[in-house]
Amino acid sequence: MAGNLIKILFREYGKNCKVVGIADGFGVAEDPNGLDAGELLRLFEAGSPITGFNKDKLSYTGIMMDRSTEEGLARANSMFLRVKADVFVPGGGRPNTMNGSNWRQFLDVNGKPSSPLIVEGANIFNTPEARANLFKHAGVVFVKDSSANKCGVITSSFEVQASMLLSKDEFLAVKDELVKDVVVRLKEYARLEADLLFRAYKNFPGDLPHFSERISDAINRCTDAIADRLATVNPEDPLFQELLPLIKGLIIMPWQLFKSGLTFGYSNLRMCVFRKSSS
Amino acid sequence: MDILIYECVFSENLPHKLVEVAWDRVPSRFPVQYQRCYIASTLASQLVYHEGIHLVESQATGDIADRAIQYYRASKSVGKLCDDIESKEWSGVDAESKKRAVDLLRRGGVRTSLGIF
Repeated sequence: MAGNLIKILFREYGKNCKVVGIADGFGVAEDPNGLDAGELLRLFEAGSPITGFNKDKLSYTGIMMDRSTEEGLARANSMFLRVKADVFVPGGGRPNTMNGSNWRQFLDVNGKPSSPLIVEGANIFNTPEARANLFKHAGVVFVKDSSANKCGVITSSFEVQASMLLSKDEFLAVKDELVKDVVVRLKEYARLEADLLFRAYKNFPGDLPHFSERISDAINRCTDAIADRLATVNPEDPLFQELLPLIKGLIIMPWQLFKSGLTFGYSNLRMCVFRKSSS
Repeated sequence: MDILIYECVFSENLPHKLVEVAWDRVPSRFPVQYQRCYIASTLASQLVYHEGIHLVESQATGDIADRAIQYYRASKSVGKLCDDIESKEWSGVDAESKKRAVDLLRRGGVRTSLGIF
């Protein structure tokens, strides 16, 4: 997750994006001026932990430490609490890492948070209590796990569908085109989720995780109601045939011709990542 | 009910390439319950993503399914209307106003035409 994120960020934002801290199960690397992008991508491609980072590539402000030393262990564990960044992405780590007893350490002496935005790539890294307190006391904006990593769930369902519909050889023959198609859909889907999430957040009272939950609840409640309604409707039924094109995607809903007004224009984005040991 | 066998988590239609290569296999390869689930979650997502959370939240549970189906029918009809308007000349209406009218219809026409939300 974190490796792919780094790859996409450097691809999309180039020098406008800096990764200022990475911690994993082996160690930690930090540099307020940004860790070397080429070296990070090399580690990602090699599936190497952060301790494989070539120290010659560190700038004079950078450090890299192993968890085997006392200082390295302390730094790796506290990286996400200390390192100042524009966005913190938990992309791995243990459940409930930021919780009711340590969320205050995310704030400095002036009450300013280490990052004003937390995008939860990994599930349940932050407890609801930590989220609520950081939002209330420091205005930290959370993009909740269920919204932030929904595309992973969708990708899995596409994989299942491809395996049900295609033989292995058929799949390999169309794989490149299929992947392109899926990526376009994932981007569109991420845009829809972000649009609705930020639109609700802007126009109604409540914090972002609250709206993430309400989006999930509304979709699930509606899905269950329709699935219940269809439980006794069989494929030869006209209603079933009428609705089946929804799967096929040939029905273009009127609003799909609209493009979002929301833009994600970041410059000089500084990111801090907590990643799994080798993902 | 065997509805719990499949998690209704899909929210997007099949990728085009799968439709192109294997659409005729869907009835035989996708179990019927999987198809029901797929229809349900796709329609639900489209409804929520377009109309927002409040519309679904404010409905009585017993009414949601039929209203979603009505919504699907109305969306096809409004989409066709918009296509018709776009493809024809309106005498006395400038292009900008016409575009604005179609945009408004696309954004809010489906909900309004149902008269229930």
